[in-house]
Amino acid sequence: MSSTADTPGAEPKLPPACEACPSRRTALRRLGVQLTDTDFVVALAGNPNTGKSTVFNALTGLRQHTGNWPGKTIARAEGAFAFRDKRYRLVDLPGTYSLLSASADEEVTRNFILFGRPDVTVVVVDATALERNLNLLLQVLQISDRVVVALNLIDEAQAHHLEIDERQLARELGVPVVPCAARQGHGLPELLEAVAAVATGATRCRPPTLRLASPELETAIGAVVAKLAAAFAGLPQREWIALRMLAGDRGLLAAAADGRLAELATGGDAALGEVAVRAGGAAPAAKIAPGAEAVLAEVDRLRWRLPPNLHDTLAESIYGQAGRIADGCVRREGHSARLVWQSRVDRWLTGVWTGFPLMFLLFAAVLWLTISGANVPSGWLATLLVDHGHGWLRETLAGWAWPAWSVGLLADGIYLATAWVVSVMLPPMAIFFPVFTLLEDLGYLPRVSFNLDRLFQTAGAHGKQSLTLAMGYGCNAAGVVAARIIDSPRERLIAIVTNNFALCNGRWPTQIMLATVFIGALAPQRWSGLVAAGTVAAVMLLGFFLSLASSWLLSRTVLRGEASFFNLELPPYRPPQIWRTLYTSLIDRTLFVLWRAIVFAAPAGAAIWLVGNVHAGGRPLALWLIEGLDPLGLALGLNGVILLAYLVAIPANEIVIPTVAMLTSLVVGAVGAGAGVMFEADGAALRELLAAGGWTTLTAVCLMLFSLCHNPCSTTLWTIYKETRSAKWTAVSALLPIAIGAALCSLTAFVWRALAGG
Amino acid sequence: MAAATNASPPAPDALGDDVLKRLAEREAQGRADDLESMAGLLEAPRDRLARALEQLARDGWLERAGSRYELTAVGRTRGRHLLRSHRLLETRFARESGLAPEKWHARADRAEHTLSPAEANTLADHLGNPRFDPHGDPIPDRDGNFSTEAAPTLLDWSEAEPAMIVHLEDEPAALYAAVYRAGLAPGMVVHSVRRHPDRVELEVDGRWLALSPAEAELVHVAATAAGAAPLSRRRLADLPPGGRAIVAGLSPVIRGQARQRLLDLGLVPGTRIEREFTAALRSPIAFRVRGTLVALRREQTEQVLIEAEAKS
Repeated sequence: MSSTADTPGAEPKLPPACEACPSRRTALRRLGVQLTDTDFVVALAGNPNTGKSTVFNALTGLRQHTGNWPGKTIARAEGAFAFRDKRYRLVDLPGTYSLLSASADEEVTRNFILFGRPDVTVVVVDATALERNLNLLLQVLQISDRVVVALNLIDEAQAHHLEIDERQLARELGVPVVPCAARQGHGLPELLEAVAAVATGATRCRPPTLRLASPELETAIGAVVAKLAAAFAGLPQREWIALRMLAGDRGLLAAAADGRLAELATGGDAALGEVAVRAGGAAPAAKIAPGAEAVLAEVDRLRWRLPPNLHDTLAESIYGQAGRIADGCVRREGHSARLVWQSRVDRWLTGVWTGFPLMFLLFAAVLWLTISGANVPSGWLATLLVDHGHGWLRETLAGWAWPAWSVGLLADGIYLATAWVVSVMLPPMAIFFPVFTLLEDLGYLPRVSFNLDRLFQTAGAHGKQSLTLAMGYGCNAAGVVAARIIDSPRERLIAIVTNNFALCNGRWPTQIMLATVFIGALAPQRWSGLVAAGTVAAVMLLGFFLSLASSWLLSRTVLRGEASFFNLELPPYRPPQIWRTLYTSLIDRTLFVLWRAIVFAAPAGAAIWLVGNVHAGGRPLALWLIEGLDPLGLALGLNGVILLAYLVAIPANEIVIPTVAMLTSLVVGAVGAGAGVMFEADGAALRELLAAGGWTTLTAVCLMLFSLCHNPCSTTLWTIYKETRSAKWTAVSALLPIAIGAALCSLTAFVWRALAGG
Repeated sequence: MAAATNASPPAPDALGDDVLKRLAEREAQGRADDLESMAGLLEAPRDRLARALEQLARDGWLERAGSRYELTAVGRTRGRHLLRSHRLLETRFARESGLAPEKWHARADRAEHTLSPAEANTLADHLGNPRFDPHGDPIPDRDGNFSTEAAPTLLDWSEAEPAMIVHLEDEPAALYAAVYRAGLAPGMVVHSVRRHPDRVELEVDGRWLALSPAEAELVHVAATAAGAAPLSRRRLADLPPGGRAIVAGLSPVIRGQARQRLLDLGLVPGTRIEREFTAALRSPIAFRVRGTLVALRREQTEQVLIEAEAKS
């Protein structure tokens, strides 16, 4: 699929032969977010996880994040594209299974299609699950007769030996049906042709009427339709509106009362879509618009005569029709080997004895890959940025005759902290997130949710919290953002507040160093590596249980409420798009880390340098603070150095150990890279230094616990504030882990000292 | 309906409101309570109730008719409005609050006095103007109309005839809680009943339950269409691994958004369903429905009714 350059408006000069060539005229121009001067509006609807976002990205050139589990697209996205000299505005509606209930997603979709009156609605349908997808499609066909069906994932259907007769399907549905495989780009030109044809009116659609299983309902609808026709001549989709009114749809009833239906009848324009969406839940108008009274009275009268479970009847009718259509159009050619092995894999991944072990193994593999894979690049970056870059910067600044303190502040403080964050943080994240995203694309993550759901249900949390927690092992800020997949605000808050207990990438170096230097050293040489790894694993597991426990606590006290409806679909495994994932993940993560280093770590670097180099009363400020914090530190099994390090290193977990090293050397009077400068030492040297600073095994153990349970880093806190828009909950997110950490550490210290008799 | 205007008598207290509500309900049923039973039901001492009745009569909500009290027009309006508010509130608690069922009534009792007719209408709109509350009782509409008939209880029903539960009396609260926890709800079909001196056994969806006679008295039933309760009906939770069945419907216990979602996923009558595998912690369970793999929690599988696949 070729596309011309994305410069809008500038038509390149081509030879006449090229101008006249058919393939030139079908070229698609992706316009990203340039939404001005569009000729047509196209809505994109469909079940979750059908490739809607892929179609959206393919047409507009934007890069919405896609992933193989239901419910990824969160906000309503808009983009534009041009095709054959016409410009189209593409609106990506939320993925929904149906349009009949009162949830926000379904209301947005319904209102947009009915009131917004897009010129074309493209319904993206999963060819491997046609029957279920027809439920939504048939409902959309009740609201709009300008529909194009994108029969997506047709390659997957073929792999499952499903043969779909799309012409028969098009005949049954009365609308164009275009088979496509959006991920490979197949079928998109044909889709564009169909969209253009329907938009310009070249193709007329004849969707079927819905046959309802209940005669009383049909009679009632007929009566209301008559009143609607009398009151609002020219109103489109009367049957569907009548049905919704009888079902008690308050949005439509309000629309009748306040005159919006009347406007719709006289050909109201797309701008209404916005009003309708925003005002969908408005209180009924005090004054009822003329003509609407008769309609509303009729609806009131008839509602009592209807069968009690209206939704049941409707769903049954729709699915009955869907089943009939699917039976006629879909044929399974022999046994699908794919289905068989996918079933087998599922049984292994969720089995009683195999499910959890395999999950742990996979998780351990991801961790091992991240840690070992990141080692070498981290070393390179450190050499480049810290060893060479730092030195170079100092020389340059000194060469410009800058005063010593400013050189120190800039080079030793700000630059060093930033360089540290980048070199420590970038490689692991560049590995962890692509791997995670690949698992996501594959379709494995819903199985994780499946396995862990019972734990989260007992803790009063949402089932999808398992996934936000998994993200948190990469970076807690990412985990917090991922909580958007949880609809219910209460459960989303629980997921956000407890995410900190997932040990993020930035804290692994601390844990690994402590485990290796202090704990592993206690074991015989052969086992020391294993013991260290086991200790870190134990801490991670503890974090997992702490997150469950704190979720339980929150859901029983301040965040009490009803559990939202549990809904989990297990999509079939699909081959991940490896290169594209790696690329987008890499870019996303790199930029994120760089930005974070500059915005948050740089100021922290300045603070650290200042604390170590500003003298008061003949001593660096740091020493005063350390002395002050020592009593509290000792009570927690830590010491003043650690507490101060955490205070100044709130911004970024990565610089805690270098800060600790710097502060300890200040206290001890040893020489590092210069007074008041952060540095890193290798195992043995570090152990000596810390031992000189009074560290014991208890200190290491408590620090490991504290590192797990302290407040989130400033990036995460800032992200929490942006997501929750609540200072109160941001404060809770900061204080809850500290409280638990303090309790845990002091308890450990107490028991340890009691047992050691000291 | 008009709220209290200047010409209206002073508003009754909580007990007075309860009296009006009860009288409105009984009046529509064509029955009347005597003082004893009303006192017991409203949990008020007899003489306090008598005083309350006199006060209501003085204020114009009731009028004396021989030895009994009857509702005046304003009394009827207020009584029905209270009934409407109460049942709407219970519907809301059932659908949205996650509270245990035995708490709905008490909460609604407290809140119903503060709802004005306009607020009640807004609440009704929000709930989609439901016609029946979670106990199966009709909710009066905006004009206060509703119809109700007294239905026989399980104690009076003949043993061999299948019956549909139309109403669960929610007072006394403790007994109601027991009945609800046994898994009964309006709309369920009881296939057969066996009465013993100390207990009543009933078969619902392929399972036998036992209730005490006091509990059975809370369950009101009515005749149901033949074929509505075939003997082969079971719950999805009882489907063995690898088993196949046809969905027969959803239990009336599940309502509102949750019910709608299950329907959206394709769990409508006639759908073929196959149990595929279970999570290691015994919940959730994965089922193949209409070509997709859907996971349901164990509690949800208790609410889906199935029938065996026809052998063909």
